[in-house]
Amino acid sequence: MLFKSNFTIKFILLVVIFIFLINFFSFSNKIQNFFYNISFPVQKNFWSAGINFLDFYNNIFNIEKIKQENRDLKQRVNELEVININSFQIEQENKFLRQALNINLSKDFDLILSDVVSKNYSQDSILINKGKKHGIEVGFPVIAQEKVLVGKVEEVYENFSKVMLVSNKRNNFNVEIISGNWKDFISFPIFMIKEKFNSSNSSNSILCKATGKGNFKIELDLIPKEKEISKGDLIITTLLGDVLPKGLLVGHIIEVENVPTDPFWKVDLKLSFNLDDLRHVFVIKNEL
Amino acid sequence: MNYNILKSKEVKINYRFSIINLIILFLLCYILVLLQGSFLPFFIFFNSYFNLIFILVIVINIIEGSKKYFAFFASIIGGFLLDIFYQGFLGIDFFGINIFFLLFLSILIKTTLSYVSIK
Repeated sequence: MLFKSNFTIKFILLVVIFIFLINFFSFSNKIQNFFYNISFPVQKNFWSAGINFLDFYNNIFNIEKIKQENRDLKQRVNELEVININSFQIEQENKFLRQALNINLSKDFDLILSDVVSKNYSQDSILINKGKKHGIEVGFPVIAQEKVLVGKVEEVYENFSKVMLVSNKRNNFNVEIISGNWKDFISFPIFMIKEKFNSSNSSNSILCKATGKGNFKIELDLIPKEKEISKGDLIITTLLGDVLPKGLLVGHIIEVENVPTDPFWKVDLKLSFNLDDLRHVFVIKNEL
Repeated sequence: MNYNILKSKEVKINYRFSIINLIILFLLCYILVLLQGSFLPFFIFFNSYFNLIFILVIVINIIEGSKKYFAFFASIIGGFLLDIFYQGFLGIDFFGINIFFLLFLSILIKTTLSYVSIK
């Protein structure tokens, strides 16, 4: 009945001719290219909308799974943070030991490496994580990796020790001032100290007493005004008094004050270690 | 005379109306084809997704019944766009295969509908 209509037959014939022409003259590629060009922006938008919609759909239907995944990931992040902290600590310790090896500390002394557990700023003391169990005794000197004197052991516990810093008020010891133009080497003096110290014994060196003043300050006493000292001169330990090993760096002079009524110089020191950066120290058991 | 003027106006209005309908149909088919290719692939059920043009042609055929031929235009426009964007059907790679298929579908539905209406 449908095919009895003239319209239907003509229409189908026209369509067949149209398709035949398109295929025969290979128009299809050109037509396709034209439509792809004009449709590209719209298709791109539909595609991104599809992705967004799919994300939204997935979020709704997989919320429990995502929650679980989130919990797992948080736990994983925590674990990795712990691993990261551990490796950072190991790296720091490694760096510290390398520096110590570079300056042959282990050749000169029998050392115990320990970590700084806490710092007491008001009492000029620190707590380290090695104690009686590790062979530490009261009076053992404590140094930083660059042969810089930190203090000496004041109290020993089973696994910890309390170290009195050089700036502690109860601390006094003999030191030697090495005069000379050391200012250029202040930042890396350790390579120069030993040479200078050994070669001099010297007319330039001045023996005196260092006394802790608290708050990370040290004062040098009893330096007669006849002796020439200047800003930047280095202070190292000496064997006099037999408390500390010879040649440990204490600090450098930052100010020399001339009080007219006083026969001695008034000298202020800057310590060679920074308490804030102090993470590890060495306890010297004995000199080799 | 007046009757002739009225008739020619009516023809013009019908002509305009059918042109507008065809433009709307083309735009609708175009949007559906783009949606089918760019949006629906994200929502696959049982490894396949809806052919929107196929659904449109069926719906138009059912709505207009067996005595009107607008569904044929829908079949040609829809089939043409399907051939452009997703050439080939059931493994036959030939430009125009979708037009033929949709026309065949329209004729089938209309024949069925006319048979049902006679009964």
